[in-house]
Amino acid sequence: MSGILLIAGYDRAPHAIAVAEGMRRAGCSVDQIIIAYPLTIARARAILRRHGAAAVLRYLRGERSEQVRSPLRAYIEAQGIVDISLSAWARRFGIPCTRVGDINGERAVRCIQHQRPQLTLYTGGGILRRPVIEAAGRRILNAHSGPLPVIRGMNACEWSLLLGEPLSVTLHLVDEGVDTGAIIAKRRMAVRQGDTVEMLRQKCIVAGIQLMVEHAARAVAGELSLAKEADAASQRQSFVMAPALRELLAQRLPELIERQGRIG
Amino acid sequence: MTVAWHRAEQRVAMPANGHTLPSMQRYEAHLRATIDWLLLSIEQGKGGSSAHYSPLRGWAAPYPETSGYIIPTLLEAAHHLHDPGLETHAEKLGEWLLALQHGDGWWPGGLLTNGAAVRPSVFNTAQILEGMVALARRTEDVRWHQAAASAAAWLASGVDAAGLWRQGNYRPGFNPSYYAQVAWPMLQAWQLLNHGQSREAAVRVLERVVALRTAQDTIADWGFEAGRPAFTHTIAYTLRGLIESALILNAWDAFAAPCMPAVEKMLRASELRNGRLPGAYHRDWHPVDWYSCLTGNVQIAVCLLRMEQRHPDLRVVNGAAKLVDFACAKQNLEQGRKAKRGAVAGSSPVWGRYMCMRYPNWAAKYHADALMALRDRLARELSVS
Repeated sequence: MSGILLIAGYDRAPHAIAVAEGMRRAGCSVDQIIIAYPLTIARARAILRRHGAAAVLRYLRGERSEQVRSPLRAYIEAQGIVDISLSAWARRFGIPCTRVGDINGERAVRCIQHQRPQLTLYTGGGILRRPVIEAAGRRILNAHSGPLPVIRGMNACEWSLLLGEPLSVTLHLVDEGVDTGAIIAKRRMAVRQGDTVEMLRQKCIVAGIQLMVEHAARAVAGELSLAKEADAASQRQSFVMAPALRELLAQRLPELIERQGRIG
Repeated sequence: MTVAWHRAEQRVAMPANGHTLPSMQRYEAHLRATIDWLLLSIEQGKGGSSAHYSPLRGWAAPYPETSGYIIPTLLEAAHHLHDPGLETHAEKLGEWLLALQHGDGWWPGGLLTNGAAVRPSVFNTAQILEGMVALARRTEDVRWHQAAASAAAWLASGVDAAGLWRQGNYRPGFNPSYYAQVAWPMLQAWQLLNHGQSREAAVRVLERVVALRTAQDTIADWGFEAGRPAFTHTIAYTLRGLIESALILNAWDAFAAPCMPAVEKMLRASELRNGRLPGAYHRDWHPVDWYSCLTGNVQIAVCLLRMEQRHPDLRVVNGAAKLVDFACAKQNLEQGRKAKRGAVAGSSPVWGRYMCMRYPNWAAKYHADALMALRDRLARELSVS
């Protein structure tokens, strides 16, 4: 076993760059990066639907949009991170970077088996299947934007708000289920009136970066055991919100934020 | 969907704070179009509701069974759409059905092609009984009570000690599990008439159905034919019958809990497939996926919302909303051929195996039920904010 592997869902993932940079500054730099980018028609359509064609074009041109003042962007700037892509960051520090179309494909599995990482940091790229999890020695960390085990799956930040669960970020080990692996750490998020859902999502991402870097560094230093029992997967999985529920969340947001303040 | 649960448990006024959601307005437009289509089906059915419209063969003969369970839908829609005229349409359907009831209490199976009742049907009688109970609750007219009492007595008298009917089955000798949807109207009749025999017989039926649960959490014989894949339409009948009966009997653990794994399976499938369930399932849950049964989709949406009423969780509402949204996306609201505007096809694509190339009145009925249940649930959520 040697080193730290970082898996990212796309090259320009700012949170993945922040994790890589955070680990470097913590004195335990990642040794290998895998960028999985399964650009399928469905994924392209989902991106277009979510961000709009104009935003996608701006992104492809490397322009910054209204997201400039977003919590994630503010964090990236505060950290002095200037790299626009993970591959650019990797080049700067001489870290090998492999691109794969499918994170569960043979090429990715071979790459992980070859490295036999001590620890894998997962920052997106699809649901991991058993061969990848086994190849990584079942030591894969993921930061989830919801309070596990109660809110697992998609749109966790939104569901936490709507269901009145404390908005939290949970660091956990990845297993074959969806967000069902052992919980390593949890951090409660501060919520303020005026926060939008998108802002809260990004605050969760920032907290996830910090939580992952902090605990990964401790694990590498032998200060944190990852030999934990998985939590029960009996909780209902959350999925992408239907339009009606998304509208309900938007309508009730001020009251839901107030309720977050009352949750003990 | 009975009038009872909507009236007493589910229905809330639109939020007093004036809040609404764009989706609720969208659902109302779909509801109006669906109900208008049902009214057209009644016009075409000359008293009863025409069973279905086919672009190839036009309007079918009226269908007593579905005309019966369209009654509570119209009564409920009268409230949702602020259209009291729908109550009159419901009563007229009821009067048309009264004229078809046999002296022994049963109603005939099949479409009324020759204008005469021929063969008694357990399932169809029960669905019409639901309509009679709904009218009796709404109007207190003695005619509906008498018709319901007569039908309930006939149904109860036919159930043997094992919970089986020997006569009046769609396929001779075959008692499908979706007879849970027969037990439910019998229990409604018991509530209305205090007819103890109906309750006892219904419980025997339910116990038999629950005993047919398989190791895979399907329920054997929940399709039209033993050993064949079951349409989601009949799966939903089974699940709904068990859930509603459990609620009436206050016996969730005995009758609803055993089918919850199947309901959860449907919830998960609706999420993973963005509201498009497979048209049918084999006994081991292997899906028949080349088409979707729109009727079954919206029936399952109602099952989810009923389950969620017992165990509140907006994630379940989310799954139901996706099922309803999928059906809405397949519904034609545009101007065009009148017979297709507001209609809901049996299958998607329309040439799918379930009611191929037809727009059944029961697809419209269940779509309306699902739309109303979802609107009620969302309104309740808005009213607490």
